[in-house]
Amino acid sequence: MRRRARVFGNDVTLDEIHPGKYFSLDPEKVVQGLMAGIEPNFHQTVKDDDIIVAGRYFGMGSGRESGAWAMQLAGIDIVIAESFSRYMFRNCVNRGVWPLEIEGILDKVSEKDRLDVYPERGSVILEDGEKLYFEPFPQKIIKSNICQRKDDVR
Amino acid sequence: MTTKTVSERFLEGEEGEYVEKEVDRVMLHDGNAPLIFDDMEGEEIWDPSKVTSVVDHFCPPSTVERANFVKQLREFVDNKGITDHVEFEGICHQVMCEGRVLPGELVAGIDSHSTTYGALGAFGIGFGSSDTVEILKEGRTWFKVPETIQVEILKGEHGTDIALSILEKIRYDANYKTLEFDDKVGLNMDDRLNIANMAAETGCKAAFFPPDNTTKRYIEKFDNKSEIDIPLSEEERCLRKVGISVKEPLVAVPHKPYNVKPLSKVSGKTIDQVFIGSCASGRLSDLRDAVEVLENKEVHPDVRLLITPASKRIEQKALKEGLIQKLVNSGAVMLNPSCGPCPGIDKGLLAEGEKCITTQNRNYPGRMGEGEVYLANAKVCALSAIEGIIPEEVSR
Repeated sequence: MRRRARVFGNDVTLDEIHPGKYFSLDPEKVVQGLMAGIEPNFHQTVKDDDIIVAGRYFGMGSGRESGAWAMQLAGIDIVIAESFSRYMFRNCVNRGVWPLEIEGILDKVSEKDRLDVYPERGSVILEDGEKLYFEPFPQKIIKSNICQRKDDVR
Repeated sequence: MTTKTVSERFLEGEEGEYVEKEVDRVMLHDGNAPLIFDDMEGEEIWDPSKVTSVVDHFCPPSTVERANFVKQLREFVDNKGITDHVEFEGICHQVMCEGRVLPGELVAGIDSHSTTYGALGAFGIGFGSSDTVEILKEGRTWFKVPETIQVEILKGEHGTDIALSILEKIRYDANYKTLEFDDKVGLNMDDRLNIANMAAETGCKAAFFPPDNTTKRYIEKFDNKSEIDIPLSEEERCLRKVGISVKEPLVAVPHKPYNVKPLSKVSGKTIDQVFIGSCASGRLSDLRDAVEVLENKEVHPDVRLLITPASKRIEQKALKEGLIQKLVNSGAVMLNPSCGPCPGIDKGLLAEGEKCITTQNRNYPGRMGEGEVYLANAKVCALSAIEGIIPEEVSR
């Protein structure tokens, strides 16, 4: 899967990924909140093949699922980070977004780099051709959550 | 036979293993439950008698959309046969710890501060809304059995300071892990609840105080029939041991709860708002601390002091003790037990450039509207309200 990276830093909290004021059941409002704590108009700049790349501890703090839901609504189907909060990891899986953990990814990817991502095989090829590996998910979790949720949206 | 950690006993698996496990109880609140309504349509709850529904985020609602959420939650609990639905009783975690959660139980909450139940010797674990849907349908979910970090509490006078010291030392290193406390100080239950609540900011899956006589005395206030049978740790297997010894009040400065400094290094900052409350605090001992500092003094004219008792039960005790009269006399504004300003919901958001010092658990960017949020204990907060600045020290 060829993707375009949208890069954020370390320690991005859920209150930045999806500020509380965007909490709603209205998908239009929810999607507007995506990354709004850092880049208020981020959702308008998201293209179909965009993914999020971040550093350590992506999504600490609140367990609100709105962050992962907003990604789902914006069509972001992959987040690569050096590590995730428990909540962000589980909420992504449950919203059909692949949370991929890759040590050192932040230093190797720049904004709008092109990446080839293979979540089920456990590998990513960076723009310069370097190949990185990660532990693929247990098949059971892939089948019951990620694939099912994708069908809901697309 | 190998011995087991507390996490291994509660989750019935080995460290690192993925397990399926039944839960004993589920907590829903109006802040996150709206996200489950669609997915639960046409579905039955595995055991409605094990579910508590609390209205505390939009309590009372400040917009029509929120009023609709609360209305939909009432309809949801009626349709699904949930009888334990409360409004205006208090903040969900405090409500759960007033006669609902028992030691030894595995409790799933639709909120990241569900770690609070660990103060009672239960295993409180937070979940997002999709996970909660599965739990409501099946009464069980999957867990990865976490590793343990042991925290020895050696010295400290206030739960908030001990919690801040833990956050400073551990930062996010407890992500996916269990914090197991060894209370060498003999903390009261208010402080334990405060610490287990704020432990959530380390990213931990659960925060556990092994039950003892303090737990037993507390539980007996609500349920004198319950025998406490607790899965205690059988061995001290852990990744890391952390010793906590607090000698002076601490303050977390913007914008991370682990950005902790001694009070003396932060003093002098002008304060616009003081908030004593949230699920981290607002308990009787916090209100007593505030009265001790505020009695016969007045809140600074440029400061608004907002106080939220954590529950109606606490509010009534504080009324009986005369605490609320004294707080109001000093110029405090009493808010009803609810989440309110802490997550920037209502009743006390900050304007751009404003500063607030508070007993709550989070100071992330945008948490309370705009502005900057400082975290400190109730005495430091009360004194800031009088002086209009963060004080140099709090006399004993």
